[in-house]
This record gives sequence, structure tokens and C-alpha cells, in this order.
Amino acid sequence: MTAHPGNNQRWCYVVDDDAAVRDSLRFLLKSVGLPISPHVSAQEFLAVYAGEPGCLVLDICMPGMSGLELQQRLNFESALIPVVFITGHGDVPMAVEAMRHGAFDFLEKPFHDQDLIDRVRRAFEKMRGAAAG
Amino acid sequence: MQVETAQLESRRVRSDRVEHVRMGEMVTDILHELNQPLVAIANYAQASARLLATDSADLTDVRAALEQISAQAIRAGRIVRRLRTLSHHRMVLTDGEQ
Repeated sequence: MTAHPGNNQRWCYVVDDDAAVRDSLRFLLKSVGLPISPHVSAQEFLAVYAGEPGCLVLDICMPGMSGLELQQRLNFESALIPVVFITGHGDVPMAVEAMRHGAFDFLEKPFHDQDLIDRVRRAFEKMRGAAAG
Repeated sequence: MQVETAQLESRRVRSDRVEHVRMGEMVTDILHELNQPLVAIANYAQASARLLATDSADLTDVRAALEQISAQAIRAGRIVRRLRTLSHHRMVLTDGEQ
């Protein structure tokens, strides 16, 4: 199921434990030509991610390793990938916590497609800037 | 005798409180679960509208998305039914206490 990017391609990694949410995000991002690499869990993402440029769309509340824990692990490893969190209604305090730890942005579920697409594109720009600088 | 009654009463209040907290947690979990198919429906529908706005829309993709929208709406309905069962159960409990 997991597509893995080559070195020169910027990918939008999606980590969400819900199969329908994951597939619908794949469909949405594909409809605007953004290549996506979906992952069922934080552990599965960590097993394949090796610091490639792109953007990480991350569910905050997941069984096993949570989105916040994954963010802290990436921070620990000094990964540059910008993280856009997607959160449920009750998760706003967690989203605030995520922003404090350097998240690029967060969106409350369900969201407008344009809001997600804009954030992913801005995150790509940010990573391009970080890689150049 | 009065002491026993007071003890029974305070035990009943405590167990009511525990029941309330437990019920609240269950409702929160179910609402979180209900949000997932809604997210999926919104994503599939918005992406389909985007695809249909182009000249080169692949109708096979749009059709697959419509099938997913329908499946996710049915999933959401099942979750709502569970929530309704839970609220009915709570009402029965409350009636029983009176």
C-alpha cells in the first residue's frame, strides 16, 4: 500500500489510522496533482521515512504512537519536514501543544479542501526555503 | 439505621458520578469516531467537484468516490444508531432511579 518517494520528488506524507480518511485524503490531494504517500501509523511512517523533503499531514489522535509523539521524535532527530496536524473537535489543547513544539499549522476535522491544499503548498515552500538556506 | 441510610445514599451518589463520567467518555469516543466518516465524505465530495470542473475528469475516479461517499454515510448512520442506543440506555437507568 505504501508508495515511497524517490529523492527528487516532494511528497505529501499522510499518517492517519482511519482507512477512509487516508484514502479520501489521497483522492483529494491527487485531484490537485500533489503526490501522496499514505501511512497507517506513526511507526509505519518512521520505518520508511529517511528525511526526504515534503510535508507531513498528521492525525493527532492515534492508537499506539500519537501524532504528538511522532512530532517529538522527528524534532529529536532534527527532521526539517513541516507538519500540518489534523485534529478532532476535542483535540484543540493538543493542537496548541503541537504548535508550541513547532508544528507548521493545524486544521480541525472536517476541513475545507482549499484550506488543506493551501497549507500543504505553503509547507512545501517552507521546506524548499529551509533546504536552500 | 440513619447512619446506614446516609452511607447508602453517599455510595449511590458516588456510583452515579462514576456512571456519568464513564458515559461521558463513551460519548466522546463515539463522537470522535463519527467525525471520521464525515471527514472522508467531505474530502471525496470536494475532490470530485474539483475533478468535474476540469475537462479531463476521469469518471471512473468520480464514480469510485461516490461509492465511498455512500459507504461512509452508511458507516456514520451506524455510529449514530449506537449513540441513540446509549442515550436510550441512560434514560432507562435514570427512570429506574426515580
